[in-house]
Amino acid sequence: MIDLEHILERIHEIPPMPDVVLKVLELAEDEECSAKDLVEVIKLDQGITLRVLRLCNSAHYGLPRQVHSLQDALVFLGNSTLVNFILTSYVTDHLQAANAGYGLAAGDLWRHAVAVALASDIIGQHHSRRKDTGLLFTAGLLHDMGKIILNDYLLAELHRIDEHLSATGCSFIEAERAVIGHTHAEIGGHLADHWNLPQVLVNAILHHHEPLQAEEHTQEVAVIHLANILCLSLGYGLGRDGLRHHFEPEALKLLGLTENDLLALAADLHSSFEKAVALIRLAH
Amino acid sequence: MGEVITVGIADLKVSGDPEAEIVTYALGSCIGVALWDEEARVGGILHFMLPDSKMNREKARTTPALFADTGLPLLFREAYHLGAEKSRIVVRLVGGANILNDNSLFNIGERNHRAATHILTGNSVRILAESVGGNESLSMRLHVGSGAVSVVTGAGESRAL
Repeated sequence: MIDLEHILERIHEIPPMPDVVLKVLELAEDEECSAKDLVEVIKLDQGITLRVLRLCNSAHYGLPRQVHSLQDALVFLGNSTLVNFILTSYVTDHLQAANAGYGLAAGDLWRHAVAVALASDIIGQHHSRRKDTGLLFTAGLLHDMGKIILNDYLLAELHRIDEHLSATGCSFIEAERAVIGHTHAEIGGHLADHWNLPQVLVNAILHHHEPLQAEEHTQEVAVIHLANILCLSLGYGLGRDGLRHHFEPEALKLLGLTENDLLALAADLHSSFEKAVALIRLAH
Repeated sequence: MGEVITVGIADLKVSGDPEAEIVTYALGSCIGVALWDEEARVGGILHFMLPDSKMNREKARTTPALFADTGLPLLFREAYHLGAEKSRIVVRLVGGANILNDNSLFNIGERNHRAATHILTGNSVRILAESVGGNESLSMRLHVGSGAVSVVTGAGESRAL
């Protein structure tokens, strides 16, 4: 068992989320937010501004003229694409490395995070017909950040984790809890706290494997749970844990979805994923 | 060592190069179908995601390799173009894993396996071997010249199929 204080020290070594990203996140949830408000915030970060302009001017879009300003970029991309792109760019740096404890090669965790973000967005749109699914996208993107922290602890205990899995046939998260004393979901929740993220994101990250444990934001938690299960099943960024996770059918009921609804959305996910990955690579 | 041809999710590739290896990763509940014709020395892999194109007809048109019932005919047609013949073709199936299942829900892996088996046996195609089910993520590799197929587990262990 690992002392939580020890793990929390590791979390505090992670730099805080940049103010610009936090502010963009806040604006994205504000229905009154105008394109001008977003531009005012984004222009404070040169690196992000440069990436946004590079994205718009990439051959992918084939625009007849160059986009030189954030204002033009925003008109062209739309608020939600721009916000999702900025968050994805930020977490990409954290998620690219290999995490051998979880059997994830370089880029695997990032692929999984982007797939779950897109799936969350798709499920959210299908379920509520809302367009402001940015929050779900963000929750999906960040749901496994705890793995970055727990990776080293897991690496040191691989043998015991494997033994526990074989002996009990339990889920991977139950093996984390039994051997390490903590799960990547719990640690991800602490990291979200450290980053001062809104409580709905903390809950979505904390309960994404055990959605019935959530006392509030149950719909958002259910969306992230289903998106994660779907992406694991389909092989987006699968690691050592494979498909050793529980599916909670109540999450489907809560959203008024059937299993076949979810599978039909899986086909949409495939094309969204290919497009999103191509766009992010263009701007990096 | 010959060319290594990678097959993505909802994708298929065939080759008549006996030196080539065709590989697909992280199958999860998806199924990898490795096709081989010994005489023509033609091989191919389909990595399909879902059992039935009725789930999303629009996507089935644009990306037939997403579904068992649209991907499998395409895999065979591509192999015929390279000289393969149906009577000589053998296939191996890998993947079809399932989420831990207390309630028989969300068993896409099982449904994928049933769909592939139904289509293949219904068309009198011989399934030579399979490594299907469980909860593990598997990758597969086909050597076009010899028809040898190996399966690699998420923990990195490799075995011949």
